[in-house]
Amino acid sequence: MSATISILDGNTFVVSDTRGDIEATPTDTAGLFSFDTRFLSKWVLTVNGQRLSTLSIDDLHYFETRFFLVPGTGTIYIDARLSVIRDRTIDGGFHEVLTILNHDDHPVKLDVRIDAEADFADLFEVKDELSKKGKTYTRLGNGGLALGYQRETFKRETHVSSSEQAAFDENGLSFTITIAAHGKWSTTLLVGLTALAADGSPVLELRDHRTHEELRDDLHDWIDNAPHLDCDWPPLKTTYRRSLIDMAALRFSPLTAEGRTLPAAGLPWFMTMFGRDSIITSLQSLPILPGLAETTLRELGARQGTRLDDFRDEDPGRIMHEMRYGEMTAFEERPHSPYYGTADATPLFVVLLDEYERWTGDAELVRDLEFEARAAIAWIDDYADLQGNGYLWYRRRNEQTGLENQCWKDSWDSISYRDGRLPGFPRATCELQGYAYDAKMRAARLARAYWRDPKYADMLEKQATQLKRRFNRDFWISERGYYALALDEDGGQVDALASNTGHLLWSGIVETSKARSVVRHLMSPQMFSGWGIRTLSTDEKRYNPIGYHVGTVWPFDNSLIAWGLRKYGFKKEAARVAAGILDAADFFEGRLPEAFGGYERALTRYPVQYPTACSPQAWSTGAPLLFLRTMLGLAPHGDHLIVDPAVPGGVGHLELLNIPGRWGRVDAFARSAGDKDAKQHLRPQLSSLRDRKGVPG
Amino acid sequence: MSQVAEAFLTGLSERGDDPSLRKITGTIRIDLRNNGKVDHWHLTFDGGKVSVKQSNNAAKGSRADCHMITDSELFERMAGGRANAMAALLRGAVLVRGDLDKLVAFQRLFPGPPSKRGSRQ
Repeated sequence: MSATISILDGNTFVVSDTRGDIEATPTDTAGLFSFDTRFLSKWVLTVNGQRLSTLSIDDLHYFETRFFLVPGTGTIYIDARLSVIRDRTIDGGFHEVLTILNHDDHPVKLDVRIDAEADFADLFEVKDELSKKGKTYTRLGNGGLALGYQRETFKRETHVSSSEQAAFDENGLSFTITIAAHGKWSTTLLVGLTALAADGSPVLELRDHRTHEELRDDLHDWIDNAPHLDCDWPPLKTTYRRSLIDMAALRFSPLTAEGRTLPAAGLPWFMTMFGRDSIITSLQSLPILPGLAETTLRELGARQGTRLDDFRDEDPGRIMHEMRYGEMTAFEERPHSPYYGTADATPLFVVLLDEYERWTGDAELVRDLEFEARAAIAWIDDYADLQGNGYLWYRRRNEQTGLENQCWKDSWDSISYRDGRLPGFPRATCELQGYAYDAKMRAARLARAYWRDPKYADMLEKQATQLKRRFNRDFWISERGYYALALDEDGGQVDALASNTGHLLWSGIVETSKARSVVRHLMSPQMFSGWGIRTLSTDEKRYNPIGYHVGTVWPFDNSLIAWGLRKYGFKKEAARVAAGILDAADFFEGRLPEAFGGYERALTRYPVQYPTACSPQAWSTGAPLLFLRTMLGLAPHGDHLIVDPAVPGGVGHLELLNIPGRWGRVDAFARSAGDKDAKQHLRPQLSSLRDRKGVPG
Repeated sequence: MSQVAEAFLTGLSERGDDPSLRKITGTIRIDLRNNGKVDHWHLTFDGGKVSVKQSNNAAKGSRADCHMITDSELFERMAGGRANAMAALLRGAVLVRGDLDKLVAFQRLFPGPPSKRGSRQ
């Protein structure tokens, strides 16, 4: 399918063609999905037996689309005496207001038909081309059509009904209607979804779905409550607004969260809770949308591992990686109930808890999650130190369906030596050690301030100090002047230069004397493309400008690195990274992709998008929010917000108003001091000129 | 009623200071179906203390914040670490009425699979 339209609310979404029709094959991704199950695989509208053609599409909101259609599919002649409008809104399932206008001077008689079918494929089955083990059925009655599927106790049903009288059969519904001259006919089609037990009773008592009006009001409130951005860099304003709207769409409310939301990982295929993605997106969003972090912390805490389970790679204290709700998870054919195979979510959980408190002053949450934070710290020492040498390692125990690489670079070839060889397992990637260090330092602060346990705080700081010393000895490649990407199973250095080394600045594990050398590498032509810092240096054997984790530029990666640069005082470099990525955003109408090619900026002049199935991606959506923080130099200090701006060249003024936090609401302003040259107000064109001339920062 | 399930449930009140218990406040009713008969268990969680009551019919109408309904045989496997409660919920083998978050917290008390290897090797 060449063009697709998606709308969604939570993890319910529709992927259709531009006519609004759904025609899925077992491996095609069209359909109405909810809780990782395809509840409609066919939904095709015909008028007098003819398919329709699209005149235009209004993407009204992320949860609502309107299709303007005419009967017939001919490219030369289109019968314009009839207009057909499909207005579709997600509300648990969806409702579709189907309207037909007769533009003729005579009445018209029409056969209107919707063909409906459901294959109840699990998302994993669509991905892996697997076939169903249960049986589908249809049932007519109660003024509608039920499409169902059952496998043992697992039962899912789709209910189709109509506000206007319709003739239902097992394959859909039909209307025989007459529309007066210049008249109009309309019906509302309802598609409802249920998860049932074998006896037909619902598995859960679900709360009511939000109405169309509630969804609209909620989106307006969301944007109104966010800080207001003003600047003389118009693309940044576009990007900011895009991020706010996309973040609204990316919100996911777990069934236990009573309507509170956290960021899912990506739309539409990753609309579920993820440890790493939900935490990092919450971190990025703290200055703008602090509520996301609270739900993330509570919901991940409520699912923290409590036992050893090899199938799910679960350990006590471990924070989950991914939750799924489909049939394969239900029958334990996939481990996602939830799956725990991630090595970074656990320390990052503690990092987020501390950072969240610094912004919001929410002491209650810090007290509520004391046990979870301590269990997370204990996991680092008791379960993640696979080699018993004080580092955080990973190696999956589920060798069939578990994840091999349990760091954010989770593709098979992401962790390599300079000569291209891949290390064995377990692996201890460098950024994990930084996260562990940061988690302990931050937990120590919380222990002292809130948990009344100064002894525990002392112990954590001592451990963190020792880890930092050990890390700077074992990971530092002195002849090259940067940190090894990882240690291999023999304790040897995996010596490729990768962006992971930039995360270390953010975590604070870099010794001050080594920082300048690290920064020089990050900003070198081998790493910095002009748009951003590459995942892998161009000098490495596995470098590929369009290799997923071996040469592309990831906006979220850069946002964390820029934060780290600021922490170590490299303001100009941080601004330069922010400028590169935000310039790139302008080429995507403000919506940063997951990754783009590592090509030299001067070479391509525009960023080459890496093809991925999900857009928007949560941590790319969060990246501009974090860049705003780093450019303005926002840092909570007690009950005050420190503002210490360092904006990119070409930006005259930048202000963020109504920043929420423990201080109430405050404004942050930045004005460039020296540059009075009018041409300076011309990002991004200016920045590309500057970069071509090789003018630093 | 199997011994494993019974030992698990009665053992809840003897766990001592288990932080996982402190995470639950309120009542959970568990109905275990077995050949047409139903065993009712009523659990009250309060600040880490658990009181456990069993009855064959008296508690039938008793209210709880969270009401879990499943087969004895499946509950025994969950209590022995051989079945996962969240997966069972998704496939309709466990039904929940009332607060789902209490069930999510409760199922964390089940042990892991008996054959686990653990991380360190």
